[in-house]
Amino acid sequence: MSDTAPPLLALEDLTYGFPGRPNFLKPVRAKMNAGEFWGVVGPNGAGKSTVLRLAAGLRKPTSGRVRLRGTALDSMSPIARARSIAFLPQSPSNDLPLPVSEIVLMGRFPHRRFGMFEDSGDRSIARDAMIATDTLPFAERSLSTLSGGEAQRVHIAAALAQQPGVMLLDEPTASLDWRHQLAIFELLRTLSTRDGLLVVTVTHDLNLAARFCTHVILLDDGRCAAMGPPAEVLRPDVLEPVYRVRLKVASTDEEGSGSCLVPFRVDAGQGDNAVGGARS
Amino acid sequence: MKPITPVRYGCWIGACGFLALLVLVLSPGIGTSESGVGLGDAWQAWFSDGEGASLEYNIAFCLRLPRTLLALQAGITLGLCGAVFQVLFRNPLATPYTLGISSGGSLGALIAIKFGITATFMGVSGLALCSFIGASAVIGVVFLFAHGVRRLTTNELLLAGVTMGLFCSAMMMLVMYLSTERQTFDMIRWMMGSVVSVGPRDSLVNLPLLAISWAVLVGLARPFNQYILGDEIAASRGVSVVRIQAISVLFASLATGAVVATCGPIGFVGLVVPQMTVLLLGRDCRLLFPCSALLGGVFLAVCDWGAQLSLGWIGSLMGKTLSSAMLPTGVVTAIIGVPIFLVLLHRRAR
Repeated sequence: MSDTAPPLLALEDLTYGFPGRPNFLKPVRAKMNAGEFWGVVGPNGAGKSTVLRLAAGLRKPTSGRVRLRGTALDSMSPIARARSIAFLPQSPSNDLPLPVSEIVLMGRFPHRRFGMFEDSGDRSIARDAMIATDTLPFAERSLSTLSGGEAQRVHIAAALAQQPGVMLLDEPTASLDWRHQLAIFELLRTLSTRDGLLVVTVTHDLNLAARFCTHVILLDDGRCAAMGPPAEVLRPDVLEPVYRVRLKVASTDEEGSGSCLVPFRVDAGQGDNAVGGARS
Repeated sequence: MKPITPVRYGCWIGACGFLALLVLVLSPGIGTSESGVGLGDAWQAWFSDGEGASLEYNIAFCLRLPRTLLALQAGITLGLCGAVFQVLFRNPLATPYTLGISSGGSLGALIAIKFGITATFMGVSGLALCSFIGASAVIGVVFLFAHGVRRLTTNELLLAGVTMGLFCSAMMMLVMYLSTERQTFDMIRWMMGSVVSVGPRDSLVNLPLLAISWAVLVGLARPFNQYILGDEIAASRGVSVVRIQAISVLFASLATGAVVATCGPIGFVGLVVPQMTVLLLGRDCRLLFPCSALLGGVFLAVCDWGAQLSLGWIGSLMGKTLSSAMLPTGVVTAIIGVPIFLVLLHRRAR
């Protein structure tokens, strides 16, 4: 990346606290560019969702700031921000009796400040988003009748209809089966490589992150423990002290999938010292 | 349910608006009276003598039309606020009265009856004014409480409102307990709710406040559509969730308080009409809000006709003259509304 152009999304020493833990998130900094696919990983309660919400502008950082193409996020109006950043929360409500096409069309909201109705341009953008996510076949069905994997694709389609430069997702594959997990990650990778979006997703599946992501942030108790390409971050010696498990590497023959990590519980007798003594 | 286009939107709004207009045109000819003034007589009086001297004119346009105007306003407000609250609280059981507004308004009215406040203030009766003050006080307390905690979450708001409602109900019992028999009778009659108005001017006192509230609430329909998807998605799309919650609660509550003050706690319209509209037209707030409003107005006006005419019909069945009396409007809304609603619910379940 050239030094002249500011990164698409920059996290500049973000910290965040809440009552009870005023210094929860230690300064996190990252520069993210178009076409990249970032995975945010870490144990439960490490601050993954917090970082994602800060990046989306849904929470105000205690200190530091988020910059979108060089502009501070907190100086932008919510609508202007929404035209560039789409956010998908961890469990969007899937029992809405609304037709899929309507939900996708609702992603056009930030682009129409005044006026009540979407026009044909909005409809064709929504249609493209449904084609890209393979949701067009059930466009007229109600969201509440879809399976979890289908509903998740609909929510991604709505985020796409928002035509953002940045798409932030919080565990989009939670509660999906393997086939649908792969489908979602393949879709997200396509969006980043082909359409040039910056995709940032929180995930618990380190093997999927290793296969699909271009960059990984590893968080450990509100601290950025490691950041970089998956090959550098998702290694047993980096992960074991953070996750407090023993990791074995199993290699597969499949092209492009590399090796995969299999976790084992640390023996009770050995305690935490067995994994490098990072905590005690 | 097909997505909303301006044509589809216009058709539905037009149909509902036409019904409301029809109600207004018919209203001079319908009402409790043995004078035998029909629709033809009424409009003939309108066109023949503009001075308003004749008996027909007075019955039709000084008694019946204002009454229907009042019913339309109340019904529009309750239908709209019911739809807004059901979306706002994501709860089909929410009504305009969920936040204790009717209890606050009733308490104010009961206190006015207890102390015999009859003075009028700028054309508003003391009773209505006390009721509105009571309703506003409840909204104020609920707001301060829910806002002071940290921020306005819908669950805290619901809890605060329901609690305030229960408190006001207890205080109403206290006031009744301390009242004379005659006062208690007046109180119970007031709480049955009615749309009796004193005169043409009287029926329009609320209109400025109500009209502003209608415009504000219907104007929030698009952000409310995003709100249905969840707080975080709405916020990420640029909707200020806290702001639309606060604005909608404030305006819906004030408008409901004004309706309670003039018509008493006419329940039911705010629960059933929005539900019926959802079953008929779907959940898109752009269509739901205005149509629920107009249908609420039509529903309440028609129920009020029923309230005026039904005793006459029952009387003629029994061979007695009961036509000078009328049923409480709240009773008729339940009698007409419940069967319609249950049939619609059953059809959806199938």
